[in-house]
Amino acid sequence: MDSKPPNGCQRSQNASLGPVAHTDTVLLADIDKKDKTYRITTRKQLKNLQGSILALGLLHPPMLIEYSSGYRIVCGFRRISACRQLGWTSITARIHSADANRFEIAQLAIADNALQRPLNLVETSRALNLLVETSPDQQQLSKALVLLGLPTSSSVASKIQQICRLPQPIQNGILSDTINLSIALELGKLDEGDATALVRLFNQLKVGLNKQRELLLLLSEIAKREDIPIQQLIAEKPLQHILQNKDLDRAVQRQKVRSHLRYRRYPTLSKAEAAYQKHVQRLKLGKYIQLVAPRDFEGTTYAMTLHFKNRKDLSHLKEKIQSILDHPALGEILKR
Amino acid sequence: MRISKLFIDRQAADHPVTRSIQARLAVPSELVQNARQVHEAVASTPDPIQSGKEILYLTRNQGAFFKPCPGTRHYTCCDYKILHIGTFCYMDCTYCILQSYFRPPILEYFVNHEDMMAELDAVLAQKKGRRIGTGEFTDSLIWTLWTDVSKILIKRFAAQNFAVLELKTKTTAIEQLQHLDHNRKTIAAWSLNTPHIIHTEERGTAGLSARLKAAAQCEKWGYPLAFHFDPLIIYHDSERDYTQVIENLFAQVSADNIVWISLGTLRFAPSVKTVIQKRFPDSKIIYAEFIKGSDGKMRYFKPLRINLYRNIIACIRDHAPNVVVYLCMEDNEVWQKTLGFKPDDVGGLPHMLDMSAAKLCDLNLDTVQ
Repeated sequence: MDSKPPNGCQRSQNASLGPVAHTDTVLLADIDKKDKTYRITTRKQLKNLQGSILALGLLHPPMLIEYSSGYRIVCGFRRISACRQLGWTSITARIHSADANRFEIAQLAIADNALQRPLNLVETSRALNLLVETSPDQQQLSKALVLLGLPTSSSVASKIQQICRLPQPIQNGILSDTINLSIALELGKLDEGDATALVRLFNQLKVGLNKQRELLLLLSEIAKREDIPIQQLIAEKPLQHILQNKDLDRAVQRQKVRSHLRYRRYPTLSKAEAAYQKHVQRLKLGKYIQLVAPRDFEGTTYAMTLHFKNRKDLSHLKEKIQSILDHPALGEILKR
Repeated sequence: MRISKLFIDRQAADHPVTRSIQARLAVPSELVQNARQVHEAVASTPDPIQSGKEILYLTRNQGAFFKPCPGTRHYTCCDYKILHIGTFCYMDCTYCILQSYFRPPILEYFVNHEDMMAELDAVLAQKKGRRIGTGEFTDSLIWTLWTDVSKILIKRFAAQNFAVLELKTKTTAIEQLQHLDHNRKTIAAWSLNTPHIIHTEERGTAGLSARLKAAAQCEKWGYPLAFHFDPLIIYHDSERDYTQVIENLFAQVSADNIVWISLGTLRFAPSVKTVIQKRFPDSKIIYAEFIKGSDGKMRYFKPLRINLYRNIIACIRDHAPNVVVYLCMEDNEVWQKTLGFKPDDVGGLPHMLDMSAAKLCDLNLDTVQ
């Protein structure tokens, strides 16, 4: 193990195609910890990797590129972190000279990840941005995208490119499969605090795409109308009361949050709907009759559906309809 | 608002109206083969809708100058006839439907007046009661700055007794209306709103007091008047503000000279919402309680509309018990609950408006069918 750098290290030339590299032993202290120029992976977990390095050593040397005062990592961010945590002071690495072609180096960084496993959206975003920034022309960029299995459609690529520039909580939401690309891009248009609060809400409620869209729309429209930040709206007592109620299961919590926000967004309509439901309940329609109000009470025509199997059933329903006609609740419904 | 460039259709380049507008505007001009070139030029700018307001495209109308008002069968329409003199407007109202009506919209004017007048002559020769307006796809009076179209139309309508011309505007560009022998066959009409809405949502339009002053001036010149509270917009204190507008209105003009007052609450196609969010991110008007109406347009939840109409109608009735008030694109339920009758009770909305026009504009009732 390379616990100390050997003096007079041996250098061997890279024989493969691509930018020329040599193998050398370098001090970990000489490798820039902060530079993320070529970082593609979003994985941070090191435990398994440390175990493997301890047992078998560093099987694949990381790839570095020289720069003015040391080295930048091209491939092997996790391996180098693991070695640092294991207390190593030096490692064997493949090193590219400072004047190496950046576009070729970028492709190596991406290939090291993309050709071994599927990239997640954030990694794909990082890869696309890196290639776009370094490619000399569109033709070479297109070739590289195909070679590395990255999206070639410009409209898709331009959307994905935005991902790695979004605030970290949104990226985390994508990585944890809480939110998808389209919601992430919508959240990206919001203030960072609002986006963070929404990701937390989606995460807590575990809502699917359609419900996320609905909640986002309700919250953002209430916030715009009332000139308050979305995070303030989420922090309001009634909503927090639902979110912090441990006795509610998640499905009930979701339903209550949605109802609360819908009421907040459409108070008059919600009251009318509630009043309508109350009157319908008073009619005691049973399971064989359904009464449907005009959508949003805009039209004036109500629909009634009857379910029956035979003349006897229908005859019973006839009596029921007569009792509905005589019931004052029907008058309340039609009076509006 | 300033027009910065003229695009001229090659086929309209030698038309006298084109030359006249060129001389009046004195801005750079470019000859184009067709409208597509203009649309492309506008579409390539950061805000194509704004750019479409800053150019003027002069062309010939190849189609019909007369069009029916684009009402829908779900709500009661007034059966208005549109005289299509041009399209779009240099003012910039948040809610303007024209923003999504044409893609992208451009300020466009039809120079072939001879064809327009021939078509108008044919329509007037039918001797039917007609209400004809130029203010549906554009503002009627913005064109008086560069053309004589209003003057020409007022004179033509003055020479018959069967139809009225309604010039609907948010401007005070009435100079051209002075000293004309209009024979009360032209109705000078203003779209009215509260000072708050004019200030926040009707960019580049005349203020309320200026509009009312212009209306009063037109009344002095003998023109019958009309007013359109459309769109009525619900906001905190909107009822109080609309009441104030009505009081101001009747302090300035005579109720007896008003042919009609229309009321219509804000409604918009869903596509307009996206435009508003993009172009006017500070506007809050689209975040009220809207539902999708039977015609697919977004409109306020019905009880909210009814409530607002009731208050406004009550206020109008206090000042002018006999003035004709009608609702634009509403159903029988709303009519009944706000005005106390349905259009069919009085022979239909078109008939109701025709009768008012006949009375106040001295139309020949015997020939009105």
